Amino acid sequence: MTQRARPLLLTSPALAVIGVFMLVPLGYGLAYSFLTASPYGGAELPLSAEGYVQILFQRDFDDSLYFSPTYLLILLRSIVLAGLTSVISAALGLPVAWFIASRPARWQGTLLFVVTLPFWVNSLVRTYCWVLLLRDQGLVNMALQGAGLTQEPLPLMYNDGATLVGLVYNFLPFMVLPIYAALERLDPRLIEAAHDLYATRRRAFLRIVLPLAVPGMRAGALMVFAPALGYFLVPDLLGGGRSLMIGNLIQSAFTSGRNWPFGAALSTLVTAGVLVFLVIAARRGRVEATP
Amino acid sequence: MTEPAPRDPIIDLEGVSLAFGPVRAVSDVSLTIGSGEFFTLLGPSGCGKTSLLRILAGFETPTSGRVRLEGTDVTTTPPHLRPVNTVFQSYALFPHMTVAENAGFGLEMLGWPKPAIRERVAEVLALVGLAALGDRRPDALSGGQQQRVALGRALAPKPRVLLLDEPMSALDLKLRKEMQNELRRMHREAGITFVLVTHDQEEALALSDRVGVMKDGKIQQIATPRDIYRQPVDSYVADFIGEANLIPAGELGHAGRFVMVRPEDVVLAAKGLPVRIEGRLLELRFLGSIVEATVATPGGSMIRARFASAAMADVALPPGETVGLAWSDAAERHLER
Repeated sequence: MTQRARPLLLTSPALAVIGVFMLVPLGYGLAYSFLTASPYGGAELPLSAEGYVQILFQRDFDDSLYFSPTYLLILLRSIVLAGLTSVISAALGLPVAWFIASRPARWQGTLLFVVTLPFWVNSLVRTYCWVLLLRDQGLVNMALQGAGLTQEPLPLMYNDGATLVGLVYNFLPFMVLPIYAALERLDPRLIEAAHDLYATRRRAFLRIVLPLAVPGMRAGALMVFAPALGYFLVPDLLGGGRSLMIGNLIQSAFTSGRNWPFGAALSTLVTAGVLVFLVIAARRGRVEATP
Repeated sequence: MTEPAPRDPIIDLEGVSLAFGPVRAVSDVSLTIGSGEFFTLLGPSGCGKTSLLRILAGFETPTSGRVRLEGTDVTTTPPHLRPVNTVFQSYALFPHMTVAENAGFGLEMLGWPKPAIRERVAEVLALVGLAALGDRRPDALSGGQQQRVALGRALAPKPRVLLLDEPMSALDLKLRKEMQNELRRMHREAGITFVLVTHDQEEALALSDRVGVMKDGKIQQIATPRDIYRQPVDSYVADFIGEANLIPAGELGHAGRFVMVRPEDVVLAAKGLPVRIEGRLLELRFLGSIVEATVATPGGSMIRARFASAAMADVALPPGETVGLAWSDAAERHLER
């Protein structure tokens, strides 16, 4: 066996898994998105672009198309919520990552473990706990009323805010870890050098720590934005009917909606959108890395 | 040994100590450095010289004692408020900034206007010989070039004192010699006080106006390189600086602990000098321009003598021969420790 072929052979099992379990379903999705919905679920010939048309237009009784922004708004809400999730996670994750990176080495492993602790609990259970916290008879409202701060329960559930809280909670560790990886490499002498050159603590942070954390934040944004965009569990439980995201739309298209081509078209759109986002981010990263 | 205090002091340490828990890194150091002086703290690793430098920079606050800078008490003043800049051992260049941005960072923090920063950065990069490399990133530079950036960056804000923490330790020998000359030149041209920390005694002797030799957090001796070499206060300093024969005083019939004499001051046999001690010649090593003789005394000391090989041309001494050793009165020094 040649030296060149060996790495390829070693990676082939992983490549096969990715090929079979990722590319094939994606191909199926792409194919289904160009079929016609069968009345009882599934899809059938003839080929049609109806799935894509339905994203922007609805059919009137006389079969004429008219523009309907409903789905576009949901798509937009998903992008905004996923974007906000990235930004808020970055803002919350940076101090946490900095705190961990500046602890003595023997503590860092334990603290990182604590950050990943939520992964050990099923995400459905964790998200449902937020329901118990936020609902009208939930812990937060009971506490506020008990303390006499509010007379009636605050509407904490079933809105975009609740969805955002749930998303940030779910994806924060994905932001903390890459920022930590970036800051852990930061030589503490750089901060001393900045102080030595007349920088206050604030300016040393803004000019030295923050710029060196940016690559980590960018990696974190990729790992948060992409999955948050298509997440359906959190908007389903916390957002309710008023804060639908694209994930909920896809889910209902395949289940109660019995419109597989429509669901497949939405999925394809999200995948393509995320791919474009990834390519742009990778390009920017490469441009900034070259001196 | 106490030197007279410099006439125009810029740094004044008074009983400065620094303890990390039970460890005393710096122990009751009092020291005055004159304005424009090139002062070196010399000692082996762990002697507290870097801790003392960090106290001067403001990175550490002394556990006790006082630090004055130009007469002002700066004992608890943070680094960004001291007119002092540091060249770090690892250079600590900002990796996300260009050479010019690194060099201008201090000026920017001081609030200089942009055109003035550009002008001063160009001046400083020319001084350190990097005028053409302002747009590069530090990781695209060689070790020697990075060192120059670190120097330029620290000199740009025209500090009153420049602190240098083992700046040459990462450079190879040839580059180190070159940088030593550069440092002397910059010290002359910039006209500011340099405080250098090093474990390299040759570097200390070659560069400094005065040297402070440190051991276990204390300063053993402060003197000019010449006096440190010729008149060490104790066996530690004598042994650390250059080579020294430390002969127990009893063997020579003296009071005290040791008699110190440098190998180059010892001559074999007598040339009009009275023989101080006799011994058995163990070995005669030819080292090119010089010859080194090792002599074992009856008292068990090893004495080394070094002389020009030209002077030995017609002397052929076989090892094992008993030889007399001599030196002048001025060459010997009596040490109590």
